[in-house]
Amino acid sequence: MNNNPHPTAVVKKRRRWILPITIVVAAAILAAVLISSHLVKRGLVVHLTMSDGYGIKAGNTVRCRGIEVGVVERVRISDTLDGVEIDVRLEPSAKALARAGTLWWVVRPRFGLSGVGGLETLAGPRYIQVVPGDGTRQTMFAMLEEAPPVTWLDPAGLEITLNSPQRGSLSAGAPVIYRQHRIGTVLSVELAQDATSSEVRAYVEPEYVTLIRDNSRFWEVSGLAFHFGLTSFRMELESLRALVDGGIAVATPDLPGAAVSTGHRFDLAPRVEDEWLEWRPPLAVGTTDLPGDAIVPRQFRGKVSWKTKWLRRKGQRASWLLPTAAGLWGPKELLSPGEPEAVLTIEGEAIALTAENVKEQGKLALLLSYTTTERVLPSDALRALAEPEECVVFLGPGVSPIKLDPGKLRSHRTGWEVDPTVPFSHDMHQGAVVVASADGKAVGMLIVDDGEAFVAPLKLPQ
Amino acid sequence: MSDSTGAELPLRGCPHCGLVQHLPSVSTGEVGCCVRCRQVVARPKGEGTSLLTAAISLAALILFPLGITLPVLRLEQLGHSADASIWGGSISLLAHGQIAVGVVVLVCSIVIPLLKLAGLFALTAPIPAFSRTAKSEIYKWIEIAGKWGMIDVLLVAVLVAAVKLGDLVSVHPGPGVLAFATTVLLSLLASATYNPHAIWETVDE
Repeated sequence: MNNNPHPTAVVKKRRRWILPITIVVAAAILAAVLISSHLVKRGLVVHLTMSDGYGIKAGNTVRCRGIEVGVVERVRISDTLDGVEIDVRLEPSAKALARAGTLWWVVRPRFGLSGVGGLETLAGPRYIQVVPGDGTRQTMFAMLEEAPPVTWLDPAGLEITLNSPQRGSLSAGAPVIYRQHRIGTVLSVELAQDATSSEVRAYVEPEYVTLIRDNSRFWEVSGLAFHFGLTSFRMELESLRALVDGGIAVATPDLPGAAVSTGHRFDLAPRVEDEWLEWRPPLAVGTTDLPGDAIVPRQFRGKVSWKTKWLRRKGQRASWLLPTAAGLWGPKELLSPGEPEAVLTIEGEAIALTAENVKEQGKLALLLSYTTTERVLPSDALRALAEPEECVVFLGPGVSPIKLDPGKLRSHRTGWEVDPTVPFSHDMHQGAVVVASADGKAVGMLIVDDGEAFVAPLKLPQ
Repeated sequence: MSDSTGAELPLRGCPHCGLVQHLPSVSTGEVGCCVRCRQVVARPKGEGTSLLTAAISLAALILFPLGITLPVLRLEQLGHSADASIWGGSISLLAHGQIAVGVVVLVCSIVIPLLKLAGLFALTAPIPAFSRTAKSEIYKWIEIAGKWGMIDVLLVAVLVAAVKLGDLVSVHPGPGVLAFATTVLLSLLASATYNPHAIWETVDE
């Protein structure tokens, strides 16, 4: 033993399986995680069929409400060669689009007498537009060949049926016109079930529902009309769209009837009677938040100007004003500016503002001497404001009224303070009329001061 | 004058501290450790580090299909987006008529790395699948073909694309990158840990 100079290595037990098994298990776990996360992120595949692909290709996007919700994965001709099959992969967040009632169509540039559309696809790629349905789950769809006339029937809108002795030149997609403004769309034109008349189904957009009353008159416009007389020749063209698809015009009498609900039937006259064109009823447009018989306040733009002492410059302010039976309501800073020689200009007329003809009331003022032959708001259309309630702010013609939630209002002395998150500006909204949603009565006027909005009462509680 | 036990045991210098010592016979489940530095100097006959190599190559084989099929890059340009995977890329090269380039990419980045990993696993797996001559033959081909496997070069290409195309198109790494990078790493490790002498050590018995 001592002769051998070399020691002998020590023998030890070793668990030789641990490291290798750990490596394999870790790889398997990593693989499982990657696969599952990939499957979750991939989203759902839906299959679309169409008779013509209109140049759609793999990689084109699917859009819903203006944003991308999926990608075209594969496009191929069907086995029987009579159509095109498109596989679309929806993003996981858009999985709910795969349900019955969802509409799909290819957006492509269209030029024609019946309209111009899809212009963004002229330079950019084509895409598939989706309008969500609300049916049961489904992953197979037949696509529409054309964009539907109305993509989204808002339940707040109005669907009416018109009976006509003959079809005329109407077709689906034709406009419903009120004073040459488009307020709705013809959904379908079909023979009535008993074949005695032609039935036109039309949809009126929610903001124009108040225009349609039970005594409204509908007539067909063909787009082009000729009038021959002994000394004159007159040609009328409603719109190019109406020239191709026809159109339906509607007028409501000066004394509007009761509001109608979906399913109401009207007669469709073949031509207009001159009297109908003269009707000019005041009806609240653009809001479904007011009762149908609410009187829409008519507002004027007014401007006050005065001379400043020092540099002889002119100072001026503008605002909305509200003519009522008692006089002209407006912000105090406008009607009682506290400057000498102040002159109010309204509707082209200049009125000198003096201490005698202006009555101040809080942040508002009333110009007593203002008289107009035009329609003014009657006294019974005004009432005092109490606790904050739901309101609509009118901003003059052509601007959609703004809804004011009671949660954004706070009682403050005589009026309400408006939450600063509601964006009102002095230039645009000063003097706008605030109408209560519950009864359609005017309760106040909007005063914007240093970015803080305040609803000042038009009538003080007795 | 010689010691019987000492004479029969082979002598080896410890690879770590250099101490020359006799190697005792080591059975399965045991290792011989250096008297001085306690590092492993002797393993059971034929085992070598083969179990570790087998595990690494198996792990690489598990992740390999994911690495080449999951999207490695997501390219976005002007609203168009495309997912690029290695498998899809080489197939589309072939489909677009670039036969020569497509075949080179397919062979160098998919077929050869796969065969190399499969070969390493076959050589080292603790299942008696092949005879020693077959194992020698397999090892020879692994050595020859391994020079053409360029899976690690591909990873560099992916990174270059991600860095250089930054201004023209936006490039985001896809879920395949992790699997692919891990596969590359494991494949390098498997080659590094493999001890070809293990083939012939078993033969000596």
